[in-house]
Amino acid sequence: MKINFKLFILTCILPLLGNAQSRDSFTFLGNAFDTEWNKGSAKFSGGFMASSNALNTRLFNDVLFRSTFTESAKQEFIDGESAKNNLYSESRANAEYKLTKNWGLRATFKSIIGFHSNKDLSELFLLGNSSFQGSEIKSKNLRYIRSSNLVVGVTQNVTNNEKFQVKLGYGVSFLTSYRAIQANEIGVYTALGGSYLDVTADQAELSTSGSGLKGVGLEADLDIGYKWDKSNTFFFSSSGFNLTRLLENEIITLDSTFRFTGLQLNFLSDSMSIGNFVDSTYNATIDRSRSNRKWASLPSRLQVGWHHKLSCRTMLVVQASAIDLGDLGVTGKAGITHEFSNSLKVLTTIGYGNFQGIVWNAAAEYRTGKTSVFINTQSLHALAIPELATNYGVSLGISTQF
Amino acid sequence: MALFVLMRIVYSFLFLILLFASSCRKEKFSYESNWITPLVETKLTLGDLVPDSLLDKNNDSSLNVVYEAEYAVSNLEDILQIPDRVESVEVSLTSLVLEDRSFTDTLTLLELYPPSLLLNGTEASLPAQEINTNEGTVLDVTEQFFTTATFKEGFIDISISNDLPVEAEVLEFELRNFKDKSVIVSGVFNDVSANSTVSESYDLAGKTVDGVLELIVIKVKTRASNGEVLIDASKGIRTTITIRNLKPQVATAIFPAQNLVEREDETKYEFGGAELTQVYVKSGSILMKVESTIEEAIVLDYTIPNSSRWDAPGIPITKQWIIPAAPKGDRVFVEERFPIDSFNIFLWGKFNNSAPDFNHIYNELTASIQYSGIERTLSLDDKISIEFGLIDVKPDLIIGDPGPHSFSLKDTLSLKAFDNLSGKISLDDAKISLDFYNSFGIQARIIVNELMSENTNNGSRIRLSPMGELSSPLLLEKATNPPLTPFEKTVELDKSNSNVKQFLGNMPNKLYPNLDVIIRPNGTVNRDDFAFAQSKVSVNFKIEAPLTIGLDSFTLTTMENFNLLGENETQNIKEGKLILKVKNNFPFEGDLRLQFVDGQGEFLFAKSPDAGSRMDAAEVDANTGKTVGQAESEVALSISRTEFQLLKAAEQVEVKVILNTKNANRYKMYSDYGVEVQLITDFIYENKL
Repeated sequence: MKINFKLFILTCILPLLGNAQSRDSFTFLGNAFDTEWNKGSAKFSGGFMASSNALNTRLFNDVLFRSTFTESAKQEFIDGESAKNNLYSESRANAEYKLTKNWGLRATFKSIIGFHSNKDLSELFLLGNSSFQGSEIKSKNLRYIRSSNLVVGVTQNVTNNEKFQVKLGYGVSFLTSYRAIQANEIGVYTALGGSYLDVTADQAELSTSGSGLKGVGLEADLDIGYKWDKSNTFFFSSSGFNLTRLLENEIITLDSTFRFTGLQLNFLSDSMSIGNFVDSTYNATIDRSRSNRKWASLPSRLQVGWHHKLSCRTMLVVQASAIDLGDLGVTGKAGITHEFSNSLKVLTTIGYGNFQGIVWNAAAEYRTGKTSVFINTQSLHALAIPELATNYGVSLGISTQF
Repeated sequence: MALFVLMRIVYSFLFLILLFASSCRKEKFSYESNWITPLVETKLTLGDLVPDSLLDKNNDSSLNVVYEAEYAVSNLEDILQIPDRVESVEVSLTSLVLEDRSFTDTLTLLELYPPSLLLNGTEASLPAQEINTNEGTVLDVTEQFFTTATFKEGFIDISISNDLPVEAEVLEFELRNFKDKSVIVSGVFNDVSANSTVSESYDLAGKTVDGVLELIVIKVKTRASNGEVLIDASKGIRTTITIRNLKPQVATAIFPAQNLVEREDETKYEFGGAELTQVYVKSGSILMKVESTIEEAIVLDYTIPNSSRWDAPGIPITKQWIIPAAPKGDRVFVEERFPIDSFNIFLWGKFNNSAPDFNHIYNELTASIQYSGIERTLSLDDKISIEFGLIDVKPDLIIGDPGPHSFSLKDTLSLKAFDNLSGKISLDDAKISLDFYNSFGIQARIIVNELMSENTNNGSRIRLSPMGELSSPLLLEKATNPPLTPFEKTVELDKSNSNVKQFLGNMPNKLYPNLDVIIRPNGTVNRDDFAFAQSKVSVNFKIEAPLTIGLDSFTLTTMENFNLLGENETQNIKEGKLILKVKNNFPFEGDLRLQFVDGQGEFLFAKSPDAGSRMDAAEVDANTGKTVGQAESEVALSISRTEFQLLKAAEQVEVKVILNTKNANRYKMYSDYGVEVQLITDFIYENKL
């Protein structure tokens, strides 16, 4: 028995020891890339994610792969019971290369779309106001942001010991696309028969930019890992904290309530097009509302996590993240990772986000020699029941040692 | 080995994903949304449909249509124009003269008989003498006379006075040019008694005389004195040379002042039958063009004595030009125009009491050279050519007999007020006023042969008949002056004396007057007719009709530019419905027809309102005849996807509004009538991502 017990312990310890080595040897489902910080190692990854609490993934597929919305998917969205419509989508490509024992180079291209408003207003913007005649559609705290930026910079291995692992990343951000709309409140009332529209705008801002580079800024990332004990490790990550100087950015501010009954036009003498007439009628009002905005801060991400070793090869993972301090979504997940061998590790989590709904992640990383490949899928069930899923995504990665 | 195969699989998988992602192109994504929104609203009153200038408001706010147009039949330029008249004069130097001059030279006794010096003042006997010599006396007349001259005509008189106390038996002399010793004249005088004079004239025609001459007494032979005579050594043979009646062929000299041209003339003008006695010039010029080879400055004086300034009577048209001397062997050109604006010219010739006393302008031209004190070379080959006369004369007033003129007028007048209208309109009443106006001081007779109206939209023509007072020739008396008081006459046509209601009810946009006009039908008395530049014969045409109308398919047609879909955003509209919400307080109902055409004028498609939708007429109070409140109605036009595609090519739309009053009854129109229209669109919009 003793022998068995020892053997049992040895069986557990060996894998544990092995696990202690193998835990840090996974790049994507572990933190070996940063804890080992091997000079000459490189990591590439890219992925896409779209999520909403009200829009189903069939609608996302329609946008990506088809030429128009599927009627059933559109109806599912219309019939949904959520009061708010939140949408967040992100595509990203990362590359990092460890240049020396303490420094590395990195480049990231990121493109995001974020939106939240009342669901009715989203429906109105999407499908038109004809079906809302006689109803007032309002939304408080409306926001829309679309941006793309490229960050080029360095990473720094600040601290790397048994307890702490701190990594910093900083870089220059080049903003290639930017548009933002926000309002404390937007309201539209369409009279029956369309005889008038009542529009309310409370601190509504529309940001527009000229052509070319939209802005330049600085961006920083911070990753901290703290090993509480052999079984528990806490993580804190903040990525994409930035300050961007906008170039040729203009905002139009509207803060009024007005009723529109039609342009006052003299058919017999006015010959310009409706568009030109609108311009000439409202340009002065719009020009008075113009101002320049010089600075912006793009959405960043905060993430905290806890890893608890359940066994030699299995770990409990709990994680919470917030985008733009929660304005573009807060998500909580819990799951487990399991190492089938020193080469293969899988992760599965399930969670919920206010911008995602129920989210199920499944990921796998396979190591061979100095190379690791990684795949992560989000809400695989969207393939089977897209009308019922509200988010999906996929990311791929590869790392190697040169 | 397995590892190698696995890596190959992974890399192949990644490569395929990249290949798929980069090569896969799907159709652009779009989706449709349905929007309803008011587009435009407008209010149309009668003032919008009919310009204010055509409406006249009565005390009860009812309206009359008033239309005025002026038609000018003629003005002064139609009757008379003053042609340019330029005359030419060419003058050569046939009249050039040099002054007569005399010179005297004395051959003294001292020169003849030097010992006479010892006997001077005493009495002594003089022996006979004979002297032959070739030496002469130089006479330089360059400064006083000429440097050289070749004469066409002229004479030289040689007078020999014998102041000696003895008889000159022989006197032989020679006068020659000092420079080349050419002989001008030579002669012999015999037996010239003491204290006597003999003369002889010699012709200079064809001879060249220099200003420096030499007089040689070739031979002097005197007889001996009869006894003792008083000896005066200072006296002798006195020769006087007189050159007279000179007309040089060419001469280099200081010429005296003289006229080259003196011309008086009466220039005759033709005015196509008019006989004018006065012209007040509004604008015009005297043209003076000179070409001269004369090497002396020429002074040209031009005068029209029978003229005067409007504001300064007694000051005639007069002008002097100085033509500079022509360079040697060359010629000089001068052209000038002297304005004669604001002058009055009398056309009675030189005297107003002798014929002809019209159409003739008397003028005087003098060309002269002044004494300059400068030596010039002039020749009979030199000449001066002068063109002069009145040009570009525009009269402000003419007085005289304009002569008989007649012309026919068959013209077309456009009445814009009725453009784009068709259908039927019945009028309660109508009046046409024709105000004839004559500000010529000339009688005129107007014969109206016919007055036809046409509505070119439906081809309907109506002749005005009867024409009331226009049926007989109209005599327009001449205006009086001063002050200028035109003659005016008004002819009115209404339903009592013509078919003016039907004439105007045809809504004519074209009028065809056919007139004959005779100017000065009864002649002129004392040639005192007159015409100002601004005079005219015109007719002011005024139509008045109370706007009490009945409409039966009355159609207003207008072609408007269509660029509703000109903007990129509106290009994405797929189909829709245009809804016109109408609030109408006119007493007529309306229907609408649209016809869209492309940039080449090709028909695209026509559109009528959806079934049952039209503009309703407002109800009329039977007691007051005014409409009560507004009639609300909706006119909807559905435009399909196919039609929207065609609309993108549309550049113009023909809009037809068809109006009817109930049973075509007539209703009075009031100034507060109007229609409020709101256009709402309910459309499907294609959003593209």
